[in-house]
Amino acid sequence: APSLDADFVWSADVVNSDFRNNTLDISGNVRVTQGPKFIEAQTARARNGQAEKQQWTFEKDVHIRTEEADLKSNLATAAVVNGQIANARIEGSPARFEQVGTDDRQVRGRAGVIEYDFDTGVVKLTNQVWFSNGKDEFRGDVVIYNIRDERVQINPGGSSNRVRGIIRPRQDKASNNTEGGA
Amino acid sequence: MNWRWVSLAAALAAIVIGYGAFVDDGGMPMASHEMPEQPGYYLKDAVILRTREDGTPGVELIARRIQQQLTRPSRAEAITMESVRVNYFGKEDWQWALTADTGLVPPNSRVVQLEGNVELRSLEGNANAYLSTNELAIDTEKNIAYSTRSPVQMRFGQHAMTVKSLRADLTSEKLRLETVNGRFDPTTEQVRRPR
Repeated sequence: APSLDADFVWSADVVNSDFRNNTLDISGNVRVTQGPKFIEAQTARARNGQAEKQQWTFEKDVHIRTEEADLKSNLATAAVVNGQIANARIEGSPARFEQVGTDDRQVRGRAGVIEYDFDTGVVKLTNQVWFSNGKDEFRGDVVIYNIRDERVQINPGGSSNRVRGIIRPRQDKASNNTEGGA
Repeated sequence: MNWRWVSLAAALAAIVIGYGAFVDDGGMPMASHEMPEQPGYYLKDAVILRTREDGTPGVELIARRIQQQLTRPSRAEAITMESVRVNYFGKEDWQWALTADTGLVPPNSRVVQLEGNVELRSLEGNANAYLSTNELAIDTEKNIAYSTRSPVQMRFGQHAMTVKSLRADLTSEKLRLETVNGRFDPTTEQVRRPR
């Protein structure tokens, strides 16, 4: 489970601030960290400096990393609630997701939009989705992947487009068959 | 009475007076050179309001003491201030409040140098937006505040920031901060002064 209550700390080369509109325009090596989580980008904008729920928008070389997920894109918005990064929505052409900590296989996905909930560990990929659990591959409109229990749902709400997938035999069985059959 | 000492003292005095007369260019009477530096003027618990052409208030300066210092030998005028507060008026209402322990306007300068517990606070909407530092300079003609040496601590909503250098346009309320380290810090008590 994600570490909570770590300090929300950030740094940047330049900040242009407008006291009137409650906005921070941040640029140059922007880095937000919260415990092991971090968000890096070239620019960012923080709105509602006063409010408990703030929206941070990151652009250019956006890289989000948590204990369980690694996300890369051109654009990302993150909701920060009471100083805790709650969720992030990234867009790219494509945006990329990779599960962290799976040594034996690479769970990855690409899509136009990827939404990631830091608390529940659920990743939702939409818009020309490609997803792989390290062995099988799927294409569809929507893929919902729960990192914690590693469950995948493809086009859960139904879709006009069909799901296309490549299911590969498990590696060890495949090699036994060939030996036996020779 | 030891006359020898008296005559020696007299001789010394003559030399000093002679030298004084020789170097003195202003033709000032000798006595004024020895007198302690005199303030041109000084004001106590002063409130100075500078208005704009249309008569609306522009800047209000409040200080426990304002003193004009005539610097020798050029007799240029410097102004020192104690317990300074400057209120800036925006389009419709008071927009900024600036406080500092001391202020100095060097001779022939339009820049006010503020020092000691300097705090610049927005009086409009964003009440929880202010900065505090040890030194700040204000260009009174361009209405720009800028940090000089010490780091600046800033408060912007729920974020506390330490900034290496700052430039604030007091008219448009736009600030430019460089080398910024921020932290989410919802506590609203005063930001710690930089050491």
